Amino acid sequence: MIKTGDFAKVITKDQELSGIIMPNSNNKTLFLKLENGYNIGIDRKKIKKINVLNMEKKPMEKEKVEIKSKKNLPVISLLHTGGTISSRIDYSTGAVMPAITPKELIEMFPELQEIANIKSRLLSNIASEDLRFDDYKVIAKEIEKEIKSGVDGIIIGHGTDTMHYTSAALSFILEDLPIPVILVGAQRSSDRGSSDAFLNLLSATIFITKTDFSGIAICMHENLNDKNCLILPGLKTRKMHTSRRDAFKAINDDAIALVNPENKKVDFFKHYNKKDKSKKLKIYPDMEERVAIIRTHTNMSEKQFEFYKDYKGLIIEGTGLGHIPGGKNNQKIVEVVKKLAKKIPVVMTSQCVFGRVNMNVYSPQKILLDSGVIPGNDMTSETAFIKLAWLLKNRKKEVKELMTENLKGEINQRLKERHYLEDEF
Amino acid sequence: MNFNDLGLKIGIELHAQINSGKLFCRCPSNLSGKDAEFKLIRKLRTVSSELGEKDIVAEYELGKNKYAIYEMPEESSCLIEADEEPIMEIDNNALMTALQVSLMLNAKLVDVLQIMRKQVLDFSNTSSFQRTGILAMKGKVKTRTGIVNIDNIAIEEDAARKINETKEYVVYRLDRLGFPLIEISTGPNMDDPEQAREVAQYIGMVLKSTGKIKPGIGTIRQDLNISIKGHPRIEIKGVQDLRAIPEIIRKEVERQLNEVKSGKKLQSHVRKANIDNTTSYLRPMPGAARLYVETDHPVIMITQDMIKTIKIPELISEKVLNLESRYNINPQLANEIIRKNIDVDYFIHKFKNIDVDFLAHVLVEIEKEIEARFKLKAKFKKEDFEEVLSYYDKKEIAKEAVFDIFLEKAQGKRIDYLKYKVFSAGEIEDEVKKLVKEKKELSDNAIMGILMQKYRGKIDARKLMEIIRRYR
Repeated sequence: MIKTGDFAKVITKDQELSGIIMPNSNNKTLFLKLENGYNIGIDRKKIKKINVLNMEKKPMEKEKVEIKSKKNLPVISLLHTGGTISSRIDYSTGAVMPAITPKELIEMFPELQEIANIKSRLLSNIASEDLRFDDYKVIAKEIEKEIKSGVDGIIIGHGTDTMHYTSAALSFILEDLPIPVILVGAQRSSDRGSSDAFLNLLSATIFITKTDFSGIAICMHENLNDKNCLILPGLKTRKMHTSRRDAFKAINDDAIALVNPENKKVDFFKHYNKKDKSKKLKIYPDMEERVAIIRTHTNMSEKQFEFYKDYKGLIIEGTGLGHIPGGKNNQKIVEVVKKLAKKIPVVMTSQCVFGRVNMNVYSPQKILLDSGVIPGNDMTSETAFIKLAWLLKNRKKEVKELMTENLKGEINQRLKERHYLEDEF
Repeated sequence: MNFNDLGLKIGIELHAQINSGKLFCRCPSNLSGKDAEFKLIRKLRTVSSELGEKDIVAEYELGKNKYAIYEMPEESSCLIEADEEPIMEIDNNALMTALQVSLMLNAKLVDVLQIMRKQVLDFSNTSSFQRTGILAMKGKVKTRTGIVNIDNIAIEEDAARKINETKEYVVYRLDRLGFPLIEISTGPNMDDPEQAREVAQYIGMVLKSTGKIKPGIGTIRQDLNISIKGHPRIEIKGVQDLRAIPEIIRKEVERQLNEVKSGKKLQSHVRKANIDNTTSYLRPMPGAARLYVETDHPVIMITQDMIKTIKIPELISEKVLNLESRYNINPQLANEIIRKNIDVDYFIHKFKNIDVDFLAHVLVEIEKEIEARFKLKAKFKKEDFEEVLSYYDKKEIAKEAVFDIFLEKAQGKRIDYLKYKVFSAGEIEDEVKKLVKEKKELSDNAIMGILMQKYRGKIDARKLMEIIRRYR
């Protein structure tokens, strides 16, 4: 029986090749790692015979790394939820695996141990696009556990795709947070020498150990240079690029701080809550499942909105200042939305991403406002979505009033010139 | 030196730039002379391997806490070179050219090509690895002294261009990063420096025969692997001139002999070729290359349908031989006609009254001659040649006028063909008769000289001489 990892000689019609059987082999192609390290694929139809020369070798036992905690260094919990940051490639198979144990983490980033005593744990290994509200609950409870054990800060390793949803959810779920909770991701996986993971993790570690900040924030690259990282507000940040390492940008707000890991300097840009370990954390982890986001576009049908009639809350990501198709030929849409808004909270945000919703400027939208559609102010659609789901379970009677009120920093009443895309050149 | 007794083993690794767009993004493969619009600062980290082993080159490069500054010219780089976007699919022209070369070197194509990541931590690639894949194996080259094996043919991306290096940082420009390369590695079974040159020359000729290799200096690079008994393998990088290969090998063998005699502990390492064909230390030899799959690119089936579309071009060497025998042109001229890709058949067919040797000479030499004699850089178009040669073909100008007219063209003058109009010998017969009578003391050649001052380029010199002799 031939299996992955075996060293074999493959005899085909016209040649003989030796190598290790690779796991991406399938019933059409056999993939072989040749002795020079290259993989090639062989058409199974051409194979006459395979002789196993050596059974799969067990990987060599790695050198044991002793993790000694150092006195006087702050303690940081590093909780992995999955994603690029906590994965690394298995060189023999080419598959991406989670790097989970504290030992593996220190192997990957030994310098962290010089700054803090890192306790590393794997909570889950989920691609962030697969996360559900129940996962936020798990993360919140683990944070609570760590805080009870007396740590000085928490870093959450997270997939980048929905990191801003999680940071928003934690911002509402965790009340009276005594310490910093920093979400960190990576756009290039940790097994490549060019990964952004290390600088992000190092910056988050420095930020936690060098400042008295408390709260939920995201720590990622400031720009394309491996130089500084930004600490971004958990409720007003968004992934704005599919692949760049500086994909995360503050939306309608300032970054909280800039961290320079080289000189360990931190510059704050705004007021923040101070660390206070005497505070007693409370968690409110329940969230309403039946909430959705609908994005408007041209050529819509009222049926698209009718789909949500059994939902408990809806975010409409409108165009411009918060518009839906509402002219003469779209009256059916207006009627459906009005009906929805009478039944459930319907919140308007904008697909412009930057700027504030204002539904008083054009008359069809005023009608929506009068029929109960809630303007989402300058919240991102993602933050509005999380907030609505959370309010529906925790402050059910006040949803409408609280949606327009700034509870945790999700609404910024004063947009400044700099709260927009900066010119890079 | 008896190389056999020394246990000399030589292998060649040849890299050629394919003339297509970049391999894994849609930027053009152009070097950029302009200042870069954008600069990046990057650090790299050693990544501990699955066996916990340390990469000796990585330690060497990164031990110094160095960083890289990458210059990003917009015209020739995008987010992919900056390691800010996953790669796109492989450039099809580059792939097909590499397959074509593989077949021309009698190698067996793989059924499925898997792109790999080969770790490089000297900052020459922003991603920390070079993308590479073997697409053929077990080729053969016949030489005068026996068959040389080609172990592997790979398609890979070229590295960034090093601009500057200090103790703290290294500057690379990203224009060259991602150029498609074909890498051809022979087995280590050559034992004669001349054979190594012959093989490198032959492979270079095969590559050029495709017409799809980037023209210019440095687009084909040779690395040599050399060892003698008692000395570990030495890799010599950056051999640009084929003719230097035997001397570089001989000098390296001498160096290795001295090292062996010295009784020092010897280590395998990489050296670079110097202008005087000696070599100097470059860096330690990388450990077994760490290769793992490029997960951002699907595997590529090399199908029969693809292979069917590959046409094997006539080799340059065959073309030269053909030309020599077809038109009885001397080998050097034939070689240059092929090398310059001149469509000599077209001209020979079109201008039947012109002697083939003269025609070939004009097409190949006229630009060089003008430059040598008048320090004028001339570059004539096909239409220029057609225009001038058609006058000569119809005997409206003399053979001698051809050079003068091209010279005027090189000087940017408008050509007045009336000025070069040929006089028939009969038209000046009376003048010749008179001159011969008057200057009896002069030799035929002296009389010819006087007449040629007036009629250079306007009369057939041979005929003129005939007339002079007639009146003696």
